[in-house]
Amino acid sequence: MISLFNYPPTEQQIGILLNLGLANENGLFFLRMLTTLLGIFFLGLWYKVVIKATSVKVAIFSSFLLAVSPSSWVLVWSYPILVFKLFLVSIFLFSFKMSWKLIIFLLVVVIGINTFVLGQSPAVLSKIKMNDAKAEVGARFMAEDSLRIKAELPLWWRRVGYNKYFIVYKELLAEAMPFFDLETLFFQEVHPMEQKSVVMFYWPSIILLVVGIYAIFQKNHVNTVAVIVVGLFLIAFVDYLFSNTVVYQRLIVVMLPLSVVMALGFRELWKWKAVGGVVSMVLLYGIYTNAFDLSRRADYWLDNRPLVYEFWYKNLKEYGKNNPHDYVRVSTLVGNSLSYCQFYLGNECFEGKYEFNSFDLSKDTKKNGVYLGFAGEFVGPKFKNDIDPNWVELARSNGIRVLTSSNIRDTVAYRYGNDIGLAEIK
Amino acid sequence: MINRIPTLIVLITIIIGIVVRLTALNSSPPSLGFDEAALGYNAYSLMLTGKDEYGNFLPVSLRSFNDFKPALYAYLTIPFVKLMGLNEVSVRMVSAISGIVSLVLFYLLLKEYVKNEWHRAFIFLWLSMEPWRLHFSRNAFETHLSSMLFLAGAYALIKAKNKLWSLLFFGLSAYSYHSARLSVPALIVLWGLDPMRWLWVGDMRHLGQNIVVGIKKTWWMVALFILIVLPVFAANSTLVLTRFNQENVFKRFYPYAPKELLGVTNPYLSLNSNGMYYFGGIITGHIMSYFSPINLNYRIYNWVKMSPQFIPGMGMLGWIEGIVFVVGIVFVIRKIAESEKYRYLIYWMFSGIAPAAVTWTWYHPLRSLNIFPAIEIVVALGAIELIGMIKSKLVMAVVSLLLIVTMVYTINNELLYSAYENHGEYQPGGFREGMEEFRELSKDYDQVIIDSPHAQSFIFVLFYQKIDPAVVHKYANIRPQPGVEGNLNFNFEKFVFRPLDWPKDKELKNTIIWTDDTMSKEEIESVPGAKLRKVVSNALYDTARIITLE
Repeated sequence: MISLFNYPPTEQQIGILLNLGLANENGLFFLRMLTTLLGIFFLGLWYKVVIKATSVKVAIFSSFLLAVSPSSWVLVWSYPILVFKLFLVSIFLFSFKMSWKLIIFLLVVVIGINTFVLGQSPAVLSKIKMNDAKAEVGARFMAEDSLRIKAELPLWWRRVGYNKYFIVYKELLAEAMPFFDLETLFFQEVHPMEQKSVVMFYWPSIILLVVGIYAIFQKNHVNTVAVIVVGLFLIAFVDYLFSNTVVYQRLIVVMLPLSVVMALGFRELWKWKAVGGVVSMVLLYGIYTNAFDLSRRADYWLDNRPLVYEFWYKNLKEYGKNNPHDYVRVSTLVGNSLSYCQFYLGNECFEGKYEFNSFDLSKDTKKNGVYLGFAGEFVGPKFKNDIDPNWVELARSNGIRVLTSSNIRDTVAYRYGNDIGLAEIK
Repeated sequence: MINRIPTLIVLITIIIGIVVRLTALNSSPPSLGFDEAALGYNAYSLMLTGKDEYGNFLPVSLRSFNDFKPALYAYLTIPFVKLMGLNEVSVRMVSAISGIVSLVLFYLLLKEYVKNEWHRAFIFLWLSMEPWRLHFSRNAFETHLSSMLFLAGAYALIKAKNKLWSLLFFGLSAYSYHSARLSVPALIVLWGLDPMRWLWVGDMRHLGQNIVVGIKKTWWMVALFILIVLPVFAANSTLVLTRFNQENVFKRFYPYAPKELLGVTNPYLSLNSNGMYYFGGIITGHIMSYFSPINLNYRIYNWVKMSPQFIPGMGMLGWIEGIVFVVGIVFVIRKIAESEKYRYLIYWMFSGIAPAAVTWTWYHPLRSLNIFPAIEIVVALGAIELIGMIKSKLVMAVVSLLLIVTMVYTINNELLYSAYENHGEYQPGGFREGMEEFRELSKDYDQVIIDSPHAQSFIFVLFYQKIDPAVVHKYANIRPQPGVEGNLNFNFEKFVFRPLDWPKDKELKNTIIWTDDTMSKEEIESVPGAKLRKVVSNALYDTARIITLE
């Protein structure tokens, strides 16, 4: 059973811990407590921001919706920089009145954090590539011209629609569209595409959103709340375009204005007590059942790469106690293996015996020592990721003794299988 | 003169709409789909014998691939088959004309919601080229005919003084596609009762009065509608529900909650992960998926891609429309308490979604086609809001230019690229190209073997060889019974549908074979008496071979 609470650190946490010189389990606990504290501060500030614009009830419920969201729990436990980003946004919203200047300033802040702190190359910029657009235009013309039976359209007419500038526009819109994705925001619990993401809002919240949209336009709200909501939507939209990571993290800022709209909806809904009561009950059950889910199968929701490193290094440490080794080769297929090594093994990682690089023992010259890798690295990768289930035996026949292995839920290194192992060559 | 420009734009839009729908219907898409061929052949059979391909006299549902297609499309196709012969154009004409009529009806509906003539004209021009409008007009879809009739009924429901007009169109809609049989009563009831209004009714007495008035307004319409569609159910009793049994949401997702979290066998008794909670999520998600902008204009689900409703590179609406839809839906919700006409849009969308929401697929445009005119009205309302916000003429000019180019792109996409992308699986070419020669050659042989990877390839043989329906009727009893899915081919006269076993079959005499293109000419002609008569190509590649064994 893999719970959120015993989930291994993310690369983001490891990076911070290394910078602080606290790369160990205690440091991780300290960082998580610190992030939790920051999260609480953020909620407090957010409460104050909303209360300025509306009422205590709305502020409480908006903060409540954010606090009970599984994506908030995941951020607090695994992604401190994103919590810091939300904290920064809320502190500026608290300190200044919403205006164009503030919006522009906050846009600079979020883009800066995404680009320089999180090191993400803005997804939207990757779409403005004329060469790709040109290639798509060419491919379209070629595909259509290959038809033996077809409608005849003049070339100039086709060129009006198929040209690199228009294709760039189309690609930009395609990049922006997932921002308007109700499935990711409200239906991750039953998502039809098995998309790897985290629940942002429980599905009953969609009712609050609809009622909230109605409520926000009632006369007493329009001037105050609407400005904050629209301003934050704009910031969230730009944040989405200028980030490049898993979808729920790209959408995290949009939770703020949505929570306000839903809180207004909640207040409105209680005018019809029976309806309000039913929705509240279902919502409370959603919180419970999702908490239960995260306590049982956090690996279903979260990035599986930290689990890979935890398995490798904890087993290496255990094995190394009684079996000293001169050479350790660690796969780098899924992240910064050296950073993780420092977290689990400390300065030992800088000893000359460690080599951090992926390998293919079905082809490479084997060197005596210990290998930490994916099944495909021991017996050779497979194009369709269909590694032989008897890969341990296969490896043994090739002189590789697999000391321990495990299966992870997600495919994090395509072609190399979902099994990971620690092996020895003598 | 300047006052006439909006009218001129509307007329030009309709003319362009007609041209784009009727042009090159024989070559784009280049091949018929299975359902298109079935509708065409049943129309042919009805025209010659008054019976469908199974010999049922004037049926209200066509058994076809055991999917019991509503028969109106086939009946309406008869005049075109009579005039043009049995071919791609005659089969698609009803859909194309439905698209044109739907366009005109949409303009009339738009008039109810957009009062500014100039705005209305430009919005009509823009929305007339929505990808779904072109795609569903250029392929034979019963659902497209149904959606046009539903639009007529929905328009008449709010406009016509005599509601029998509305019922007439709604009734015809129900004879065109299954969805309308649920959508129509749902819309009538929602329109009549106007339940959203109840939220603002002060006391219980007034609420009661409202409900009574609503019931008085609608009961006879619902009753009459049930009477109208009764023959559909009476004729085939439980068989018309076959499709629902195959596709419903209740079976497919059971036990609804993640299996690994269910501690008990009965999902309803689970405390930690109760099936009811997840089922609620699935149903709500199914409904809301039709309001999710990304679904409307960008995301392509697998079950959409693997079917003739797939519009490559685009959703049902063009790209920007999804964002404008968000503005529109916010506007509608804002106005919901003020005017019945905005609530009517919501009722329309919900009743259109209802039949699709109870099937297992998350978002299925084909089954919910009735909602798209209402969605377009919401987009139009969003556009009006945005026009009010945009003050700069330059921005307006750029936006207009982008929309015009998008329209050109959509036409290219539908007439050419879609034909390329959809060719093969659901519109398997080759039959059109090779069947005529095959028919001529077949006359001289005792046995015809057809080896095709398609489970329903018989329909193309019936269609392109124009097999006498009276002959086909004789074999109705040996054909796969209702409920059977998969391979529905059946042997008739000298036609045998089976995989070719060349090592054995090469010994046959006086036989003609239609098979795939895997054998080389040398391999075929190394057998004494065997001859490769034709390599058949579809619109893209070689797909079949005609071999004779003397």
